[in-house]
Amino acid sequence: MATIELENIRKVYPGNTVAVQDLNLQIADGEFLVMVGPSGCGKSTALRMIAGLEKISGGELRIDGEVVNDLSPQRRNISMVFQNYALYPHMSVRANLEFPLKMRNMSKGEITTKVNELARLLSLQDLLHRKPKALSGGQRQRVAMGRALVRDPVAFLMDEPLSNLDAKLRVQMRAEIGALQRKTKTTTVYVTHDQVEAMTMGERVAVMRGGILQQVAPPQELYEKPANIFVAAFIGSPSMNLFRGRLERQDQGFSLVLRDLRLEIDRSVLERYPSLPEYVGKEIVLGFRPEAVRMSEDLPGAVELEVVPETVEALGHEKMIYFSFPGEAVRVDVEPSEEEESKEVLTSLAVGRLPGEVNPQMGESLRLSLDSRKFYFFEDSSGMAL
Amino acid sequence: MESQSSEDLRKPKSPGKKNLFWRRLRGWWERTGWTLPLHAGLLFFGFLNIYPFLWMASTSLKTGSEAKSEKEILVPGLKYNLVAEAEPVYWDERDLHERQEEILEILWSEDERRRSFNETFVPYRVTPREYAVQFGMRDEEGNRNIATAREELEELREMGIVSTKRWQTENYRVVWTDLRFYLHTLTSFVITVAVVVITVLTSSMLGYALAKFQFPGKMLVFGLLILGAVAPREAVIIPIFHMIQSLRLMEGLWGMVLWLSAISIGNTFLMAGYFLTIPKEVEESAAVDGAGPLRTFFTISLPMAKPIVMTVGLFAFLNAWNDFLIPLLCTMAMPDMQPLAVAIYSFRGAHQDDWHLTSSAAAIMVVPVILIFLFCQRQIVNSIAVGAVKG
Repeated sequence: MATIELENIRKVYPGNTVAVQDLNLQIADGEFLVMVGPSGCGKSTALRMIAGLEKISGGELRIDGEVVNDLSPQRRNISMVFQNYALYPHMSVRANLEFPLKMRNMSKGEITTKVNELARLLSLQDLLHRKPKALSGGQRQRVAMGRALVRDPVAFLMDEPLSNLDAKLRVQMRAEIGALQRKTKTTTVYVTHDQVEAMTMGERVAVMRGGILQQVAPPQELYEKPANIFVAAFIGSPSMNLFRGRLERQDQGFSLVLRDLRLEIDRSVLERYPSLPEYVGKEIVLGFRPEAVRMSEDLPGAVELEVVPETVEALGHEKMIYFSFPGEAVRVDVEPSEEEESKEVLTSLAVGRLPGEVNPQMGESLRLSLDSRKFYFFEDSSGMAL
Repeated sequence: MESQSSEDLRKPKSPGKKNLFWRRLRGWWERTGWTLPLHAGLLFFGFLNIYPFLWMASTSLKTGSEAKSEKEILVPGLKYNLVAEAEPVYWDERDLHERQEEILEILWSEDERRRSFNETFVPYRVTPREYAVQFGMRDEEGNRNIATAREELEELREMGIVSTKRWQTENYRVVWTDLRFYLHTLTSFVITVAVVVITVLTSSMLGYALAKFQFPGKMLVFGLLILGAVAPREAVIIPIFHMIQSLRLMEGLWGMVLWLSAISIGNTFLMAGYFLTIPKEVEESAAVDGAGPLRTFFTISLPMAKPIVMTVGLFAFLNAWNDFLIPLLCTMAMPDMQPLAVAIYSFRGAHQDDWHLTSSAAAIMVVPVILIFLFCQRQIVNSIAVGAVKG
């Protein structure tokens, strides 16, 4: 049980590639923190720095208050589960599980007891004599977790452990890992690229992009209050619809002028975005999630829209409709580039999520309403939320 | 009524004898293609390859004169039967002192009888009757006596002058015991085991360091290794001899062991290459589990590299077992401690013409290699395909 503190952590590779930049994270004792982001965003590098497998180029790493920048991984008393499990192929499952304890010079009796207990916990008793190559993916995963658990470390580090499993097994293992962590109350840092995993497993989620931490917050807060366009687009599946337009005053409220459309925005948005008036006359980015799309209802604050769905995906409990939205779509690149976000000149498709009972037809005009209480606004240049 | 012409065109023509043959031949060719010629060619070349071993095996089971005869026969004892020749007694020069009297006795007592007998070996399978016809004692009337011939033959056999065996396995006994080959085999064995252990340890550790670590001078080490692996041994034999001499390595087996380990150092590249393919997550996992670099190497990396360790061990074994030149230089003064390759070379003195003994000694030297090949055949072929190192 330990706290992990990263203060201004930096990682620079020879050739001046900055993999992680100014990372500041405080992980509380017993917390389950998920680091999520697209490939190459530096999350694995940060994890490996915590483990001691990469040298820290700058900043301080503290475990339980003690600076451990130069401590070798052997001495840090943490365990790590790798993406491809990294089991010792020439040793049996039992030997794999015993290995960390042998390195700690525990007595043989103690080792056997602990291994047996752990095997029972993870339902591995019948597999103890087998070699890793004779195991299925899920079994290997459990052995890897067992090897990490067997030592009672101060922290668990997991580097995308579920990405090699099929979807069903993944869902099952997610629940098991979560349950295990709640039982042992060990500080866990979990790295994944799958935002669904992040949202379901983490107490707090740290979103990273290009080596820079974008936002760290509990999952619901990330969903409801994204700090910038990237977080808004990354969290939630399908991702948020983002369009660029110019804000103008209209009557008591505002309107957003998109290319072919003028969206009326009610005054009530000022409660959530009090600084909105400052941006009148400027280009801002509007975002709304597919869940904000409804069948036409005459609610206050709802923006009515007549659209022609181009594609309808029927999922049983809901239907996803893809319709063209007359505005300049904002595409979010996973790599931050020096140039602006790429502008799609053509109309791009917006996604809406409708209940399964509705029956929209492709090519047939449909009347929708967007709930403006669920609008998000972002600055055009920086991408930060208003 | 149909007109009947002399040629009834409706009936199929039955092919003549010659056509049938060609048709059948073409049918066979279409069915089998190049298979028969290919296999015949392969068998032939296979036979050519294996012929030296067959020759060696058969010669080692012949008697001396049978081996020396001009008729090359692969099956020993085929045409030499009852009366082959008198078996000479062999001794080794090292035993000269102890067995001096015994040897002189043999020389002087048996000599005449042996000499005369040696000149009259019978080249064909002979029955007592034929023996009587050719060599039998004449009785009073001047006729050759068959009964006497049989008795004489029996007598000669009891005296050990005549061999009645087809395959003379005594050659091996002579070579092993009288000519002290058990010593040489032991020496070879001890040297080879030492060389294999040293080579595997050093090349694996060096290969691991080259693959996994960065250190100043890494390129220099690389360069030296390549130089050592590439330089032809014969070109540098003089400086090597000088080095061995000045380091006083000639005065014992260890000089040889050191040298034989050194020439196998090219295997380091094999090791380094293989260690590069071991996923680093496994070793990182060991590090996180608490194993230091040395422990990781011996408990994780080296066991994972078993195939390449066996390959390197194999190459080292073959080098150590077969090497000739430097062991010759190192052991010239110590005939007892010569490894097999050198010991066989010393047949050139007293036993130069004794092909049967030389073959037996060579067979003794080859047997371990053949056994290893039989047991590790697949491994060896994979190693050569993967390794591509000379030797």
